[in-house]
Amino acid sequence: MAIDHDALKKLLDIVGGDPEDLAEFIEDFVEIAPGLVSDMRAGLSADDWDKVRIAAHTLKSNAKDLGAPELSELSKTLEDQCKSGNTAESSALIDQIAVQTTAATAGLSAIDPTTL
Amino acid sequence: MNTTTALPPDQLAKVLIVDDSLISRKKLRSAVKQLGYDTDLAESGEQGLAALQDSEYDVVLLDIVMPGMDGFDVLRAMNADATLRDIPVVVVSSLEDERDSVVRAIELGAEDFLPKDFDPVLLRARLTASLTKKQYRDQEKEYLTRVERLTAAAQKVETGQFKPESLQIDDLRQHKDALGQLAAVFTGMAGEIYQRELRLRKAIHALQGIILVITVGILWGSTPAISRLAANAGATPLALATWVNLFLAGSYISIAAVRGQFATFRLKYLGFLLIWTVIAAILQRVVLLFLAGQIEATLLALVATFQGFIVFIFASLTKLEKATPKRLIGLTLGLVGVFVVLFDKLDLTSAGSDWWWLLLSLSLPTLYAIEWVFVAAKKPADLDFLPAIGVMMLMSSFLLAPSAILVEGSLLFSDGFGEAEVVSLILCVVIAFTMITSFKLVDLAGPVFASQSAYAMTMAGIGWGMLLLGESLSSTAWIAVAFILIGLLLVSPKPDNTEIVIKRSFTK
Repeated sequence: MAIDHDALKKLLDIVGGDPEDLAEFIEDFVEIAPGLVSDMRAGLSADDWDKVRIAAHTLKSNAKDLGAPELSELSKTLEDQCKSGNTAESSALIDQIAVQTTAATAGLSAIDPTTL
Repeated sequence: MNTTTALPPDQLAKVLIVDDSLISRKKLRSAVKQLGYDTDLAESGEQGLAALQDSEYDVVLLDIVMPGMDGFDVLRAMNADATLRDIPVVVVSSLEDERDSVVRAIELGAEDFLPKDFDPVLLRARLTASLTKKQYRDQEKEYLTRVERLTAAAQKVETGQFKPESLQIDDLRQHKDALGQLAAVFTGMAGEIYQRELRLRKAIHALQGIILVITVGILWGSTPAISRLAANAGATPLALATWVNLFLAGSYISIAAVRGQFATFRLKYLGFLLIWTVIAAILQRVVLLFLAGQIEATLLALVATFQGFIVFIFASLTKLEKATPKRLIGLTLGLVGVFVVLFDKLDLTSAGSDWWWLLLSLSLPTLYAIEWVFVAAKKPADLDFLPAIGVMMLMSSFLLAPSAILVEGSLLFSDGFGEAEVVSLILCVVIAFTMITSFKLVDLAGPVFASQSAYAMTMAGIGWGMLLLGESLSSTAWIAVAFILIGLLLVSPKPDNTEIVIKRSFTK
C-alpha cells in the first residue's frame, strides 16, 4: 500500500520538523494500530459496538495523520456503521481493516523520515 | 518566545490536552509547544477533570470521543464547578463527520473547535483567541472583586467605621485605574473625617478631664479647712469620722436604691469593699481629722499634692498606665513644689516634733493614692460607684463607732446642736459631693490624671485656708505653687485607645 508522503510532511511540519519525532510517531502507530484492530474484533465478538466505534474513531484519525487515507476511510465507514447500527457487514469490514493495517504498518516501517 | 499570549511575558500559558489517543495527544503537545505554551497531558476525561482540579490551566484542548467519561461529560462537570466554569475549552474534532458534536459541545460551553487535521496557524489563532477572552474574564472578575470590596468598605463607613485600617482597602489604592483612584479618594476622605473626629473627641475628653479636675480640687481643697474649723469648734476626730461616714452611707445607699443600682450588687463584692473601707473610710478619714487638729489647712492641702507622685509610681508599677518622660517631669515639678512649701512652713532644722507631723502628713496623700490605684485596678466592672461607696461607708461607720466611744468617751460633741455639729454637717455634704465627682474623674481620665486634682486641691486649699482661717503663705511658697501648676500642665489624661464610631448615615 502506498503511503501518502504529503500527509507525513504535514505531520512533520506540525510537530516542528524534526525527523526523529516523526520516526517516533511511526513507531507509535506500528505498535498501536494492531491493538486497535484487536479491540474491534473483541468488541465484535462481545457485541460491544461502543468499543468497536471508539477503536474505529481512533484508527480513523491516526491513519489519516500517518498517511494511510484508505485505512482512515475504512475506519470511518466502520465508525458510521456502529453509530447507525447497520453492523451487518461490519465483521467483513474489520477483516479489510486488518489487512490494510498490516499493509500500512509495513509501508510506514519502510520509510526513512529523514528522506522526506 | 511566547508572543502569542496576552499573559505577562515571564508566565507561560498552560494548556491541558485531554485525548485518549496517544498519537493525537503527542501531535497536539508538539504543536502547542511549538507555539511556546506549556502543556500537560490527560489520557481520559476522568484524568483531565482531576488535573483541572489539581492545578490551574489557561485553556483546555478536549477530545470528544473517548471511552468512559467523554468530552461532553467533561464539559458538563466543568460547568457545574464554579472554579472551572471560566476556563476556555477548545474541542478537537473532525469537522466533516462530527458537525453535530461540535454544535453540542459549544452549547455545553466550549469556547471554540479545532479540526483534528489542523494546521499550526489555525491552532495559534484558536489558542490566542481563547486566552485573550480568558484574560478579559479574569480582569473582569478581579475588577468585580475590587468593586465588591469597595462596596463593603462603604457599608462599613455607613455603620460608622471611618478608621482607614478598619476599611481594609489599602491595597486597592495601588491600582492605577479609575477604581484605584476612587479607592484612594474614598480612604483619604474617610481618614480625614476620622482624624477630625478623633481630634475633636480628644479635645472634649481633655476638657472634661480638666473641668472635673478643677471641680474635685476645689471641693477636696475645702475639706482640710472645714475639718480644722470643726476641730476648732470641738468636734472629736473619731466621732466626726463616724458621723461623716454614716452620712455618706445614708445618702449614697438611698440614691442608689432609688436608681435601682443594687440590681447588680453581689455578696462576693464585700471582700473588695472591706479592703476599700480600711484604706479610704478608716485610715484616710482618721489621719485627716487628726492632722486637721494640729496643722494649718494650707499646709495640709499642699502636702496632698504628693498624692500625684505616688499614684504615678503605683500606676506605672502595676502597668495600669503608661509612664512617659513628660508625665514624669510634670509630677517631679509638682513634688519639688510640695517640698519647698514643707521646708518653708515646718521647723525641720531642730529636732522638734515637726518631723513626725511631716511623716504623718505624707501618709495622707499616700493613702489617697493607694485608694485610687486600688479602685482603678480592682473594682468589679458591674459594681456601680454609688452602692459600692454606700456599703463601704456603712461598714466603716460600724467599725469606727466603738473606737470613737472607747477613745473619745462619746459619739456626741456636745449636748445640743451647736457650731461643731453645723460645721460637721457641712463637711459631710462637701465630702459626699467630692467623692462622687472624683470617682467619675478616675473613670474618665485614669488615676494618674485624676490625681492631678491634688494640685487644684492645693490651690483651693490655700484659698480656703486664707478665706476661712486667715492663714498666709510666704513668697517662697507662692513660687512653689507655680511649680505645682506647671507640673499639672505636663500630665495629660490617659489616652482613649478605643476605635471611634461616627454615627451618621449618608444614604438615609
